Amino acid sequence: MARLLLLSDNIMFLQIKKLSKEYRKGDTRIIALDQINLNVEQGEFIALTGPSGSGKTTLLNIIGGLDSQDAGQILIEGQAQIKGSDAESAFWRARNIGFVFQFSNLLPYLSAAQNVELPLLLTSMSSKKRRERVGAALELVGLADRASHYPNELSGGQEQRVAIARAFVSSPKLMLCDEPTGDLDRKSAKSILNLLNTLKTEFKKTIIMVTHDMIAAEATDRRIELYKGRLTQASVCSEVFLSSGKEY
Amino acid sequence: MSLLQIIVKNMLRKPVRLVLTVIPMCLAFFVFSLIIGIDNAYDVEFELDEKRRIVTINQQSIIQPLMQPAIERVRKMPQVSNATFATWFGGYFLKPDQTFSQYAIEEDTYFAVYDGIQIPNTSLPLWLEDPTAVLVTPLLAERFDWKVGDKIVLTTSIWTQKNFSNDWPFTIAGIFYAEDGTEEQSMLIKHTYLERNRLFGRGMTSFFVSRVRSDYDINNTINQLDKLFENSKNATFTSKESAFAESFRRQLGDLALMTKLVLAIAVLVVFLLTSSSMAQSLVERKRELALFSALGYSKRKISSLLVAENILVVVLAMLIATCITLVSSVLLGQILVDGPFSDIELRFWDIVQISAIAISLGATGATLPLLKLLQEDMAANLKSAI
Ligand SMILES: Nc1ncnc2c1ncn2[C@@H]1O[C@H](COP(=O)(O)OP(=O)(O)OP(=O)(O)O)[C@@H](O)[C@H]1O
Ligand SMILES: [Mg+2]
Repeated sequence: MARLLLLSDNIMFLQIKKLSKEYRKGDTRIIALDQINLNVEQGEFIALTGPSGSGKTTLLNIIGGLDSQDAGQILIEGQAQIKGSDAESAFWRARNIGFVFQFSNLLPYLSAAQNVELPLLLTSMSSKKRRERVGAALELVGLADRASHYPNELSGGQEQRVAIARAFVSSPKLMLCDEPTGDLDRKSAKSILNLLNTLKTEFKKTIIMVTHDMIAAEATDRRIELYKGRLTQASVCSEVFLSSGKEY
Repeated sequence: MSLLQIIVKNMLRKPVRLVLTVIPMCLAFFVFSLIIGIDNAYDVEFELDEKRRIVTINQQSIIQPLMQPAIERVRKMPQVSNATFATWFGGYFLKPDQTFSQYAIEEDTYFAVYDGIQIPNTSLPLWLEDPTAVLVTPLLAERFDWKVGDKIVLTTSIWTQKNFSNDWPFTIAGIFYAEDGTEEQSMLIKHTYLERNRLFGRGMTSFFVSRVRSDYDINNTINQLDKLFENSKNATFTSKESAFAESFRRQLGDLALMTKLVLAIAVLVVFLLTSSSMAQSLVERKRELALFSALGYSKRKISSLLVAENILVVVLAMLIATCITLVSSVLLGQILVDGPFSDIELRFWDIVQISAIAISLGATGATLPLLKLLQEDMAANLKSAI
């Protein structure tokens, strides 16, 4: 037992081994991910960059169990990610992953608090406990006073912060953010990055954030870059990335 | 917040569409419950069975006559305590749509078999002395405002008098109280009067009614009775009074086939409405549902939310429709005196059944679209704009 614990201390939080994924549409094959290897430490905040179509979203979705790989392995805390039935992988996702997307993260017919509460409805938590957790999460993202507001009454930055509260509320081990600042102005983007950094430093969350924004990438611990489905040295590829034509 | 709240909020998202879906569903359920309610009015109370009466008609059809003297063979059966016969007169009063049942009866034996019938003393004097005398139920007397001693004329296409007239004069002798669970509007005519004056069909009658002694089995007796006339050209068909009355009334209302047809259409309408609205929400909420999936909701869980929403819509429509039926049954009962709409009765058990149908329609209507959902690639749907 002691040995096992010792061992697990040395295990990387997230290990991705030879992960490959291709999409087939008729005769054309698109290699979205090509033998990706990646190690992420517990509490690391990682920026995932790369040109459009390089496979960033695909990688994130596979790590989060929303999509499945053709080959390769993903281990979280040494445990293989569960890729069984849809119900099993949904259950796994509910406990381990918090997702944030670029846009339309929130359900328009639910208030901010109700949106944040969604993941908790999958747990056996009492409604009182849920309310506490939701309140705390909204407090953390600085929107406690907007709990009863609906998405169309919130600014883009506020919407993203509610989405982060929702991704965070069920205390997942890993937060996966796909261009969370992509739709935001510089100032709002900054506050989102600060928020994610707080989650990292104060709650030891491991975060992988896809971004096109070099300034956003600078705010993280480490930047990794995808190019045509392969992980490359970030420094080497940054030129390609910068010349890819996207302006942020 | 609970999952139920999510379901309700989802349902109320597009109020106009909800109303446009619920209204035709309501109509379908209204027709459905109305027909069941009317059908109930044609149900005959099972109290009739306590009387241990059986009814014999011509095997070929209910309108073929029986030979009246044949009843003597029935009366001789040890299982039968007494028997009587009656003939349909088939007349109307003044206008062809003013119809009701008239039975030409053999007085003594008829009241012995129908021993629940009560005749007040005031009706007796005329009834006993006047050959044209008739007894009517209170409701019928009220309907045409008939008083004791009134001379009336009934017209019938079945019976022609010896003077070639189809108009038969009668004298209202008074009222009689029919047994519970039997027709509320009927008239009793003396068979002797019909027999003496009819041009054709003498010695014939429409049906026999016999009472089975309590120490004999009714179904056996029915078989034995029909065996008496087997292979003769006047073969008979006998059934319990309750079964007979029910089939007779249903035939009158001609509801049996129509009922089934309309019920089936109503069910189909609801089914199509519910499955099309489900298919539509699946398309519209593509990205939203994928979002649920990203949050850790399994496809099965997402499906059950959608099914529940679908069921809720159907049940809502059904409840509104049932309320309308209940209210209109009370109102129509007050306004109308006669006809199928005057007596609509929706019982508790019917409402339970309609609810069960509504729930299963909501669920099955959702099935096909949901089978599609289970195949969806949620990761790809997340990229879709809606
Ligand atoms: N469902 C799919 N079917 C077919 N091809 C797909 C599918 N999803 C993604 N792809 C392809 O896989 C490749 C990687 O796509 P992905 O969405 O991961 O790129 P990305 O790096 O996130 O791009 P962006 O920066 O524009 O979001 C692209 O070439 C894309 O066209
Ligand atoms: Mg992407």
